[in-house]
Amino acid sequence: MIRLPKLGQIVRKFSRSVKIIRPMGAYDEHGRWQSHGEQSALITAHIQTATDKELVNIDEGRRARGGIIVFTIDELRVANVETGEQPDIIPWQGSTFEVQSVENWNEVAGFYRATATRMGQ
Amino acid sequence: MTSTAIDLEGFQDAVHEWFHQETGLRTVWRTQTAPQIPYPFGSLKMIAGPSPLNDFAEERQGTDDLSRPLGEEIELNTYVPCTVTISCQAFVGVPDARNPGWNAYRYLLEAMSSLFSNSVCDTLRYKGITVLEVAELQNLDEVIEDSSVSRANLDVRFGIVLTRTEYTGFIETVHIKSESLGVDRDFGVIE
Repeated sequence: MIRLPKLGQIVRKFSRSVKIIRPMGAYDEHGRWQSHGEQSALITAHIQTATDKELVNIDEGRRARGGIIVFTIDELRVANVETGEQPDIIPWQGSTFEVQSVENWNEVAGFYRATATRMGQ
Repeated sequence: MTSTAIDLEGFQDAVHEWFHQETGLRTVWRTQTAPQIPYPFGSLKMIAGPSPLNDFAEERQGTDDLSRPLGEEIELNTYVPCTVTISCQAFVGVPDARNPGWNAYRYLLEAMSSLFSNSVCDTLRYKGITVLEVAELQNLDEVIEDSSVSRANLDVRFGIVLTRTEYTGFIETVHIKSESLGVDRDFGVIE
């Protein structure tokens, strides 16, 4: 069994630069969403195709489209109701994936494990 | 030339302002690709209409303006009375979701009762909106993940008048050709 700190080292060793997209926007006073474009950034990450078991906690409509697991040393953003932030988007192998959840293993092992699902229409 | 002056956005803004003022809820339009806002909040959606009341549509001539480009001197406005149904919803999360005095019903009751007050009806009427029908409140409580959300719906049918403005020009010449009358010439040419 691989110990968590060791896993952090492995993540660093096998990671590469991955582009992420961070949508920006806010609601106006009439309740309409106004997009303010998007920011892109490079993170250091290792990406794997998610198994069915790894997507079991994602709701059905999103789970069915498939997903990826992202091991990264940079923190990714999920949708945040309080702040109105939208989740990060990861283009990967011709598809775009939306970050659904992030596990924070940064303090104990120096990495984050994110689950992202393929975006629909 | 035709310019469409259907002011649906202005109608939506007026309904949004009414609902926000009467409920005190931060309110957004549904089915946007946008994040949810924190509970409690309100949401609006056009669920039917604009449905034209064809028998009452009418065309009126607006201003003639010779400074407009040739062929666009006359303004024609078509007024089409329509009905639009708006679904108004309130969402309340825990702990208020479990409090009968503070759940989503409370907010929609405020909105519903306001539609029978003169001040609100006059304000809407001033903006060109009439309240035609207020449906009954519906309870749409639901459980999202592991917490219950108090949700209620109120459908309101509004009456608005959509306008469409077209521009046309004066008739400069009329050509009449008749073998029996022996006529084949232009009339009305302004020299």
